[in-house]
Amino acid sequence: MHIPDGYLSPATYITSYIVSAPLLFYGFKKLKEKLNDKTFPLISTLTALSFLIMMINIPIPGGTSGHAIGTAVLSILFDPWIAYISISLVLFIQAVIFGDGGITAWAVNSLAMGFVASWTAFIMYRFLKNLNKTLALFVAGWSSLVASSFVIALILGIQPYIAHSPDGKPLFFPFDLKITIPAVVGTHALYFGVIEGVFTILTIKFREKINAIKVVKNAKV
Amino acid sequence: MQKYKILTILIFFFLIIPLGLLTNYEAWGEWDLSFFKEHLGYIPEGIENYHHIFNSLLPDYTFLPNNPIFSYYISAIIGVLTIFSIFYLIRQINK
Repeated sequence: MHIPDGYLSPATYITSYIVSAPLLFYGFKKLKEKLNDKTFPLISTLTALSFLIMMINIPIPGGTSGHAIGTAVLSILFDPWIAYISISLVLFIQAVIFGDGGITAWAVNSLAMGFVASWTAFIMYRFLKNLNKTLALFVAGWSSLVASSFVIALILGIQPYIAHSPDGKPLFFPFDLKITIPAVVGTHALYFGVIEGVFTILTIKFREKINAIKVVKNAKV
Repeated sequence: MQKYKILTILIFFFLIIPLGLLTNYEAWGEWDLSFFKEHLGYIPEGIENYHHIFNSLLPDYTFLPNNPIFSYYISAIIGVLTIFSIFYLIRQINK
């Protein structure tokens, strides 16, 4: 889901940078407020975890592969702004050091996998947590990745309409929405979203278990 | 040290990352130039001109072609340490 350089027309990526600027500014301010000696271990560990799970490419039928992103966990345990900035940092490191995702496409990737994924997870979790917590965690993870894949599919799929040569040849990403939506959203809804949902449940339950041990230990003292 | 127990899960995923190397399947929409040549018969102009606009330091996490697992682990360590350092710096600015 990391859009590389060259796939997006300048009109698209310049707009995405303009839209992102105030969001990144505000999010970074929120992160600075929240980051202290107490939150540092968890925020940095979960962000590093997101970097690692994005390296675990999982093959699916049809000859493609994908991965979970870990945005939902950060969004549920902290808040959507923290998750957005942390994931954007991961995407930045991936682009600059490892060439995974483009520099020009960074803002679109960060809006999709960071901003949209974190708010979707946050809202779905809020909405469902009183019904059944495990289900809420799963749906938060699943829907965050599906929503994010929808943004990617949409931005890629509009390229042939907005940027083509006079004879109709696409200048940038050549496949339109009829192809990108099923290929990107379909695979994320069926496979990678499910993995994201399970990952969200496991990570948050694991963290709760550690906390429970801590409470018991403190009680003994 | 209690608050660092969450690191266990990080170590677990660190150990299993070579699983990510098992597939040769590319992610949909993350293709190199040859894909377009092969499937469309041409490379869209913008993709051809701007795909390699920026040279990353360690492309694709596998900078040692003969030892992909080792380079994957080194990439993971570099990524994780960079993330921890950046958060550490932000925290220091805050103090």
